[in-house]
Amino acid sequence: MLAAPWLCRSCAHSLRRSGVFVSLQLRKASTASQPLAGLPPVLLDRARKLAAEHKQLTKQLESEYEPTAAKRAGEISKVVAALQELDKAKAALDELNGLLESDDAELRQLANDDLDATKKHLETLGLNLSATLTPKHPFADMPCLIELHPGPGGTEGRHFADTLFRMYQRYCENKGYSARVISYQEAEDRTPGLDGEVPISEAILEVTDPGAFAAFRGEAGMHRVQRIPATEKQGRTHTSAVAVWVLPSFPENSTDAENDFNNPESDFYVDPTEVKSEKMRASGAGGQHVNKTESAIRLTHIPTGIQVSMQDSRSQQQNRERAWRLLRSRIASLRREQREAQAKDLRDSVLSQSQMSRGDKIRTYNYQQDRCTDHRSGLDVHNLPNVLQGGEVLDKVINSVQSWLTAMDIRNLIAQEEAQARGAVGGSDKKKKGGK
Amino acid sequence: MPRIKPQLFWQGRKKLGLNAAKLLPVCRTLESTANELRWIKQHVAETPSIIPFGARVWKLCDRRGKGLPLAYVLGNQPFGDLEIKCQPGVLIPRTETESYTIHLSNILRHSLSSSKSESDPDQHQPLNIIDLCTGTGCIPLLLYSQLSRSLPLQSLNIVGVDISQKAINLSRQNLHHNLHAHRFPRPSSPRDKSHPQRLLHFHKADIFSPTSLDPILSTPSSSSTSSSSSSSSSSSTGTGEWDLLTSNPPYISPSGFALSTSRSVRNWEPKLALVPPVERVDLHQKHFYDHWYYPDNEILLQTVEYQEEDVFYARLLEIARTYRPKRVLMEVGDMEQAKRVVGMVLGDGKLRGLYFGNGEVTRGGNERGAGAGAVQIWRDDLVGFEGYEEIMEVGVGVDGQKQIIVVKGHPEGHGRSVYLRRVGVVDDV
Ligand SMILES: C[S@@+](CC[C@H](N)C(=O)[O-])C[C@H]1O[C@@H](n2cnc3c(N)ncnc32)[C@H](O)[C@@H]1O
Repeated sequence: MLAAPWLCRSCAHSLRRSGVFVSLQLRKASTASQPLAGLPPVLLDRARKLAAEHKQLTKQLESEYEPTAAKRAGEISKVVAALQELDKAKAALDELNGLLESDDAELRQLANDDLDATKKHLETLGLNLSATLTPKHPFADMPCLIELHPGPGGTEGRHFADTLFRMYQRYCENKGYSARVISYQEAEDRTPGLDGEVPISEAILEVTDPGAFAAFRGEAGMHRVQRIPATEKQGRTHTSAVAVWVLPSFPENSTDAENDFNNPESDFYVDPTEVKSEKMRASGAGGQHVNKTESAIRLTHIPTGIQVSMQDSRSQQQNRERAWRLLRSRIASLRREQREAQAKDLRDSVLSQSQMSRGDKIRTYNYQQDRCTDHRSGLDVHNLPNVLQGGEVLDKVINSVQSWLTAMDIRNLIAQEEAQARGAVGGSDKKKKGGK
Repeated sequence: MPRIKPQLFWQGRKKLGLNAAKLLPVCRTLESTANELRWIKQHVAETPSIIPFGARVWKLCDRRGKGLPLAYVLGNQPFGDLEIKCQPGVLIPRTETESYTIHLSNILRHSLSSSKSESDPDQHQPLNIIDLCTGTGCIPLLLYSQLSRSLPLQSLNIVGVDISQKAINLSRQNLHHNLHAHRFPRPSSPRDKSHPQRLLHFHKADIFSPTSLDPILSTPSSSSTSSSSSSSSSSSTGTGEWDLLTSNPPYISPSGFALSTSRSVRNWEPKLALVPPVERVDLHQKHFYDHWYYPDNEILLQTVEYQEEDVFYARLLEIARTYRPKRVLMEVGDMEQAKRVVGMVLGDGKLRGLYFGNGEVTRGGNERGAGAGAVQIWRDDLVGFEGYEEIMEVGVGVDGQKQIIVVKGHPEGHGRSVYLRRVGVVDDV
């Protein structure tokens, strides 16, 4: 009996659009420090191919107008423009470099003066280009939930989960994001860890800024810590892990959210008849008969088995709202993953090795070596305290992952398009999901 | 209740410390102990005092450990987005009440915002709401808070009534407490002509006493239509209609009080709020007969027999009969009581006409036309499960005729309230 309007809502909408080039808003976070080297070659290749396609389309359109071709040309014109700019700047740089070889000292001096500015300019243009090329993740504009779950095996992981939690909290502070604690569950075991760590069994931080999902999605995966635990008597180094999940969430009280929640097409739609709800309280009559303070709520989504529970607040209403939000986010995320897996089947298996799944280690924090390594971007940095304080070194690591993700996205996109092109020849399953 | 294992006790002391050891006997699980300890610490940290932190935590844990409900220990209970002050002597608001109150405010919001867009925006006409047996005032306060936010231009006239002076004092205190915390806008003063006009008042009255209740009931918006003496106009016509009557009355039988209430309810919460007094049952039974014994309605002589814990519903329905509120919501103790209350409605010709339309009920359906009126039972756990509906057959017993009503909410929830909607009134959710 849900009076669900079958309307095309922002989310369902952008899902259908995925794979189309959408200009990416540059996050204030990562603009400045991205080196040109961060521009993957595959991206340049892609841009050149598109430029060639554009040229051909324009020619074709000159002789005869055809709406789909015009639309396609429109879509990729941004890429072409960005590429032209970049080529111009490159030529300018080459010229300067030539001048640097000159015998004329004055000329050399002039060229030198211009060099820095030109390099900077080139960097920005490179970034522009990658922005025009990057397929936008359907959840990119949304806020997010960062969930921390210590891996199995003792207090050490629970201690480090606390450190990671604080790291993200401080990082948000430093970046000016607004974050709030949705859940922070101390483990029953209260042994203190290093630097006042408290063992936690679960923690959830919500970053409410739009676009937070895009900023943090690279953090999802296993984070590994190598150090001598506070509880270790013989000075041995232990290795433990904390799983980080990054889920899309909705801004509170947004009408978009309400609509998406009621729209069966949306990833965030959850059919309430498929949810089992338990108030975690002793069974009994309820109402005036009892005044128990148990405000905990547990929701189970029967088809997927996803279960969430919330007990941080004394207010059952607040726990219930948060539990529903979390459940929707987890389900949406799962649906997206399933679709990605489907898409992956379409692509060459060559790429699958670079695909990270939830179980893979993505980063290692090594205390003895004062080092943090990201296993995807390959970036290796020192000054671990700064990383754990959510400082600029962590920002560097996160940015390196962003570039890696961008490159990955583009490679996936290319592979997918190629696979589809092949499939189209064979007349196969081009329209899988969301073709309107 | 099973005794706590000594092992658990020992674990609690070891892992959570001495404060927790105090809480464990009343909280009973480590998890719940950890939560309560955290809330107590949070509370102490948020309320400044010259007494050291540790000492205060210790003291509160000690009180709680003696069985005093947490809401009395901390002096408050969250209720929707409000903080309701609690004191021994006044019942602590329950989450079940919170849940249907939120659902009610959603119903009002949706039906008002959709009807307003068509007809002229006559928001000068206040939304009249009365809550009988208001206790801390939690229901009217939450409705006020939600409606002033979701219908910012709507005039409101909300009234709470309780027999206990302590409750009335506390409900007024709660109004000010939440006002100072900026949880909702300040109510207008009666002379204030600015718009929208929002009124929120609490009155002391015994709902069984017509002399004290009738003046409150008969002129829903008298205080808003200035203090001219137009109060002689009849109650059920034109402007003076109640849009909503709510009540969470005492509904536990004396034996239920002894057997099915938890110890902290029995020992610490006021019996006046929980168990209808026997004297009242006798008194009212007579009263009820007098009123309902019409020649054309003899049948009522049979149905007027009600159980003693249902006496407040008999009175509330009598009020509904006279004042014909557009919507009525009464909290009940369980599904059985809910069915009895529904039986009381359907067994009375006039109430049935008001809230169910006359006679013909199409089988198989909630899909009765718009404005057909409704008698519903709501279960616990409505929020998030609004889409759930079951059909229930209720035998009325008079002529053996079966009636069909709708039960809403999660199927595992207890029957928690009875909702009536007058014929001609449309809910839009
Ligand atoms: C179950 S409590 C409900 C309190 C509040 N509405 C809530 O939901 O938390 C019942 C209230 O009814 C009041 N009450 C009992 N008998 C009454 C009567 N005859 N007239 C008015 N109020 C009465 C009690 O003082 C008590 O505050």
